[in-house]
Amino acid sequence: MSDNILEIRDLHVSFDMRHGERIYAVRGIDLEVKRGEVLALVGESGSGKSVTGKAVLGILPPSASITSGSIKYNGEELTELKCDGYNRIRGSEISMVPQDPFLSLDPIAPVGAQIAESIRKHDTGGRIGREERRRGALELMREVGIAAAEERYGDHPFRLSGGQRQRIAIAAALAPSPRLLICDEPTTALDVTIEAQILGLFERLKRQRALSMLFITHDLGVVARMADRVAVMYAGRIVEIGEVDEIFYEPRHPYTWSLLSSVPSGSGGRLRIIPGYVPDMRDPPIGDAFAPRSEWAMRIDHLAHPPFFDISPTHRVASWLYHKNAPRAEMPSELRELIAARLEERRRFLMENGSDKERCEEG
Amino acid sequence: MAKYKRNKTITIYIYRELWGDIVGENEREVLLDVSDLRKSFKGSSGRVEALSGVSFKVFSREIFGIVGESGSGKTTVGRIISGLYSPSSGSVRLGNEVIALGEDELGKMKRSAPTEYKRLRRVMRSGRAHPEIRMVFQDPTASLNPRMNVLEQVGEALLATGVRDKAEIGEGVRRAIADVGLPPSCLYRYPHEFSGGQRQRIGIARAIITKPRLLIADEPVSALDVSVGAQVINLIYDLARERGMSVIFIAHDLSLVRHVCDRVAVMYKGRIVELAESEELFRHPTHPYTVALLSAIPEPDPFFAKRAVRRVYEGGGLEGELCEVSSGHLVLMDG
Repeated sequence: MSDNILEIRDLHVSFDMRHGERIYAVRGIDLEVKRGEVLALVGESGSGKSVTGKAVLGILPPSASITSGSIKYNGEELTELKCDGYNRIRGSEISMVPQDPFLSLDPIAPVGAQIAESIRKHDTGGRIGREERRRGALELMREVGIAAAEERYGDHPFRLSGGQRQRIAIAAALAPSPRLLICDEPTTALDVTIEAQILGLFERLKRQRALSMLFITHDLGVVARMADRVAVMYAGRIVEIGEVDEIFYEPRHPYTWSLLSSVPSGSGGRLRIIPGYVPDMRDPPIGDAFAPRSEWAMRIDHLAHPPFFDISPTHRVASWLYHKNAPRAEMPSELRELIAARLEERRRFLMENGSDKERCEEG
Repeated sequence: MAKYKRNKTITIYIYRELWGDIVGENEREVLLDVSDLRKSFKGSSGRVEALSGVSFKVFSREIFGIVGESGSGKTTVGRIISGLYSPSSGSVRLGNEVIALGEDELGKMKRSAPTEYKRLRRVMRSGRAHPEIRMVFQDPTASLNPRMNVLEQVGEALLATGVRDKAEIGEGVRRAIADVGLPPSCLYRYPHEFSGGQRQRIGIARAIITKPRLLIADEPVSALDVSVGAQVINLIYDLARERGMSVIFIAHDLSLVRHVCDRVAVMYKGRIVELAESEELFRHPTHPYTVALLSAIPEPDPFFAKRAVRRVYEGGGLEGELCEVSSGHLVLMDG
């Protein structure tokens, strides 16, 4: 078996709109999720990150189609699967935690029954009895940290708080014991304290169940906490992909620089923003899509799409700045200082605490 | 002896009046004074107390943040100040004018000052905001009338203040639209033709056209994309600074609040648990809830985000009153 649980190669997804218009949402992405790792997919809305997640699960809306490319799960090609085949994969192999559990849970069914149904649907032989399903659902509810699971079992979604609803949605997603979890902005709708708890739950589940995750988010704080590797998307393409430390401490693409610089930190009145707007995906720009907003853009950026340049065996960046003929590009000095300060803080922390292994185990 | 003391305070008062400009920044003008505000709503199982005694002051030209999670009462505070709800008890003062008063206090006032009582009751029953206070709402799609174009939409705010001259309204709208960074060509277009960020700009234009002294922005960007939201925040910030307008910025996103606000109040279960200048609050959080809230923010740094010790707030510390732990830093505590 290969190392990769999921491999996406040159995936193109477009939406057919009225009046013959076409939106090119995903324009050729390559990525792989390794076994047991969390790959974060980061980008602004409209960058195609959610569409990628949906394409993997085969739940694209009818107006969307995969125009080319391949998605392989454990070596099995998903894009060629028919409905039946997909149902075998969906849930029991790949499952999804949605952004808003209020929309994804059935408002008129008790939450426990919804988890039990998820167990029944994936019990192909029909061997699991009603009582056993109930016990299974209760166990899942306890696993995702719902206090007094027995009492909550019969409650309808509206009686639960947002955090509890998200826990139920996670329990339902986990019911068929999937190997790969696709999380589409699973904490965006939650308060920070609840978000921290849910992220903690994901960390625990990942460890206990050896889950692999494709974690879709726009929040760099969430990325920093969850991800092993990060893929930065812009205008339907991946612009930079690497280990989480490489992306946060040695970012290379001008878009990644802008993203990292625009995280609000400290006080200072106005927020730093990326000038300009995301491109219109009905008519995506030729060349590097970020070039119109980038102060590092060169003439070639407007003419041809940059290929990937390898920075390290794990770190790739799609920018002409790393072509051998390009002038040497430096990240903005403020960002460099910010990163240097963080590394310094990290060094001091390690000095004071020795090796941080013990701390990790405590946490 | 008693007489002497009173004279002394008067002297100090006069001294402040005279020397106010020179004394300057320490003696800031209080624009809004919210005092012991309480509000309860009728729920399915009895009354639910949304606010249980909230007091704070907003200075003029200040950006004042209110943060808290859902259900903390932050929106209720905003709605009482803007006249959408009337408080169960407590008072709201704008400058020297009382603009909202609780039922008990109103009852007392009815006996002691009947004319003032009648005026205030009329104002509060109208459900209208004080002319100096305007709001920007969370969802720009829901808060704009889909059947009005921008000129009507924004002009209506002027109309409501009694301006009748069409040319004057047109001129005002044009200026407000330019101030929020929209092109003049959008005057005759309808809300559905705009993006979320542009719609929120229209909402802001409608709020600032009457030149209010206080703007209440209730989660103005939580319905927007992060990058678009940042632009809207910058717009509100610039307008406030240019016009010397005070802003009450209600939000759940702490990092934004920290960035743009001068002072921040943290609310939990209908109370202010901590209030301080924003840097002070983020450097030295004191109340256990604030500590937990700040520790929950995921840091954009992979090393520390994965190792951060997250404090859990286990309740408590909600009794007592706001005590000053250092200059301008108030914490809810016993004694």
